[in-house]
Formats: sequence, C-alpha cells, structure tokens
Amino acid sequence: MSSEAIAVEGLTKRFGKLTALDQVTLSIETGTIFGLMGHNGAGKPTLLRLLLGLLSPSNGSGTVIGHDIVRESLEIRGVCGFLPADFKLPGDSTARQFLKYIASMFDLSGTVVDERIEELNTLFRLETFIDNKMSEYSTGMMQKVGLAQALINTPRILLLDEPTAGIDPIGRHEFLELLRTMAKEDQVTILFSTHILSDIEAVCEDAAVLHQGKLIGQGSIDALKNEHGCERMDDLYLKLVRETEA
Amino acid sequence: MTGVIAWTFFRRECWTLFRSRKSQLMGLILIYMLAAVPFLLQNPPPEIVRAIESWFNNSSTFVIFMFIWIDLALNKTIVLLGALLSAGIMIEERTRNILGLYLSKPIAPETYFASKTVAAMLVFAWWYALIAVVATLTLPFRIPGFSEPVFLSLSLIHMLAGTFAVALSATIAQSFEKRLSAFLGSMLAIMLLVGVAFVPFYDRDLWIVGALNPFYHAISVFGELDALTYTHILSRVFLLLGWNVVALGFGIRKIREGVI
Repeated sequence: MSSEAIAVEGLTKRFGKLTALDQVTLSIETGTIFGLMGHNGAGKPTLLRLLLGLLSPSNGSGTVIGHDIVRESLEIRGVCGFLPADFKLPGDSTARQFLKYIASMFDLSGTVVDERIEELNTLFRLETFIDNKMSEYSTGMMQKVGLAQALINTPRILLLDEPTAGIDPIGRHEFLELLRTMAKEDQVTILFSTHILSDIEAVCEDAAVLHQGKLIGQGSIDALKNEHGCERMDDLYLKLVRETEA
Repeated sequence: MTGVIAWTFFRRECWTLFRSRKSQLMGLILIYMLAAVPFLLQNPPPEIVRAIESWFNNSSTFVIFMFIWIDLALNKTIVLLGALLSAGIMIEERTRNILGLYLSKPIAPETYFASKTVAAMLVFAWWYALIAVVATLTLPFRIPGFSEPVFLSLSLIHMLAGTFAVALSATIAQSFEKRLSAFLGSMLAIMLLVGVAFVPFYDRDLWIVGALNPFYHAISVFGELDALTYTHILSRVFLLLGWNVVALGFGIRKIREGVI
C-alpha cells in the first residue's frame, strides 16, 4: 500500500518582486520516481530547496514523510539524499575522504561508513579513482561521486537535480536502472528534475511540468500523453508550454 | 543534529583540517618563529628593552625573551594564522558552490559554522601547545632564568588569545562575500587589536582600551612575572575563554540571521 511521501499545497516562493514558485500543489507517492520538467528558471531548484528547508516559503505549506518543511527541516534532511545541479567538489580531497566527510554530517562514522562506501564504490565503480584527489576527476567521475554522496545515508527520499548530466551513455543507463531498483525494492521515493525528457520517460511513472514558477501539468505520464494527444514526451512538454504561453 | 557542535562532524573536520596544507603551513611558521627567537634575543633593540623596563619594571633576559616570543613573534603570527585557518569558513564553500550541498545535510548552518570554527581553534591550539612544549624542552639552555612553569602558563594564556583570533576571523569573515576580502578584513581587524594592545601601557587613563582587548590581557601578565600567582593566571584564562565564547557567539548569531 502506498502513501504520500511528499505533499505540498499552494507553495509559493518570492525573491523580492520575482515569483520563483507560484501556488504549486503536488503530491508524490512513496516508492515512485517522479519527474520534474521545466526550462531554466522554471523554479525546479527552488522547489527542491523548499522541500529540504533550505528556503522558507513565502506562502503555502508542505510535508516530506510527514515532516513539515519549515519546522522540521533537519528531520527531513536526515532521511533525504540531495544532488544539486551545479556544484564543485573539493579538489584537495579524495572521493573516499569526501564521502566520509558527508557521512559525518549524518552522524555516521566508523565501520558503518566504511561498509557503505564500499557498497557505493561497487555500485558506481569508483574503485579506480576513489583514492585520487578529486581535482583530477572528469565531469562524469564528479557526477558519480555526487550521486554517491546523495546515497551515503541510505535515504528514503532522493532529490536529484540534473543527475545524469555529464554521465556517459552506459553510466546513464546503469544509473537509471539503479533508480528503478531503489524505488521498486527499497521503496525509495525519487524526485527527478531534469531537462532530459527521455530520462523521465524511461524511469518515471508520474511527472510534472513547471513553467515560470507555475505547475502547468502533472499526473501519470501515460495519462498526460493521452489527455493531450501526444505520443512522445518532447511533444507533450512542448504542447503544455505553448498552451500556457498562448 | 541541532546542538551547537555536531560532534561526529567536528571530529572529521578536526582531522581534515589538521591534515590540510593550511595546518602544515601553520606548523612551519611556528617552527620558524621558534628557530628565530634565540637570534632575536642575542641583540634586542635598546628601545624595546627600555620600553619593557618602563612597562613591567623588569628587564631580565627571561622577560625580554617572553616579550619577544609572545609579542614580536607570536602576536604577529596570530594575525596571519587566525585568518588563514578560519577566514574561509563558509566563504570557501560558497565560492566553490558546495555550501548548498553541505547544508542539505541534517546539520543546521550555525552548527556547521560552530563545528568548523571550534575545529580550527582546536587545530590552532594543538600546534601552539606543541610548539610551546618544544620551546620548553629546547630554550632553557639558551635563556638564563628560563622558568618552565611561567613559560607554559603564559603560553596557555596567549594560546587563548590566539584561539580568540581564530574565532574572530571566522566571525568577521561572514560579513564578506569573497574569500580574499574576508581574509584581508579579518587580518586587518586582528592586526588592529594586536596593535592597540599596548595603548594602556603608554597611557594608563586609556585602561578601557585594554580591558576590551583580549590581546592586552594576554600580555599584561608580564607585569606580574615576579610574583605570578594562580589567580593572575586563572583570571586571564577565564577572561579569554569568555572572549572566545563571545567571538564564536557573534558568529553563530550572524549565521542565524541568514546565510542561505
């Protein structure tokens, strides 16, 4: 039986005169992979940051696994894994040191962390570079370490912003497979924000489209396609955006 | 993790910082100071000796050594080391665009700041204590009248002035956006405090300048070397611990006002 893992209602965020997110209401069931689509500046990172309590909403409310996004943000962050779209890893550390550093923020240390790092090492095939300084890493290697840090605490909720950017096709395929497994077998809820619509089509059951801070479509991908008479995800996305702009 | 310090993260940060280039550079600077002091002591400038005599009513070789060690060597070093160790806290992360990732973990911004700052203070204290112990083992043979207990007591007091400099650097740095301006701003503030620490010695009427300056309390004890008591030492230790807490507290408050 599934239940709501993420629920927001009327969520609004204004930065001065700019409304980055406008009256967004959505709910995501536990153990599903939910795709979030939108142009640059549509408000995707703002929504993710609001869910983590890194920003306070101007209006509206929300919960993540029953925790209020304003009052209980530390509890939310304790069960979430987050991968931002744009970050730079500390070049003077190795991936292993970095993962231990991140684990310490979850109050994790010792053999628990060593074992978890070994699991992630196997999962992302980090073994050839895990003990090298990260200043030597390629974009793909950086992204793998970024994903590994998001999983260090074995999260129940995974918030991913452009997670497949910079990953080679095989790595991307394996990563999407991993997301499927995590959602299906471990009941991890995944909010997957990306420009790559084929990724959403490949792994998500449900999706939403954000445009200029507003939610212009959401629901099951198949239902959305049927409703708008589109066969492909690209067509659906463009149709929703054009209808809104018209 | 909602406490002032997140202990697991704090331990990891201590270890990371201790192994960093910053910490290694700090060790090298302190070793250089230790090696240079005996040479400085061979021919101290007469005006310095006269000033010491007038301020502390004592110009024995040991008092001159303590002045050279604490003021001419370590106070100048602290100006640099405080900023080196802590003026980048949260600024470096913001510059590297990784602060958002760190703060997405279950650690409050003020806890992150406090844990990193106290770790920097501890790493500073570790190097300072180590160099004080090495000095205690090596310098008595070169300095007539060297008193180990007095040297270690004064080192403890001055070390706390140093940790205050680290905490103050971290706090001041939060007013800046860029790493270089944070570094220079912190250095300037500490330099100013160190620079005016001697004002009350020149003019007793300006005692308030000293009372409000932690670095004054770290050197005013020189005037009591002939009859140093536990009260002299402990009063300054507690006073400087208080200043450390105040500097850290201001930083935490600044972060709470909004860092993200």
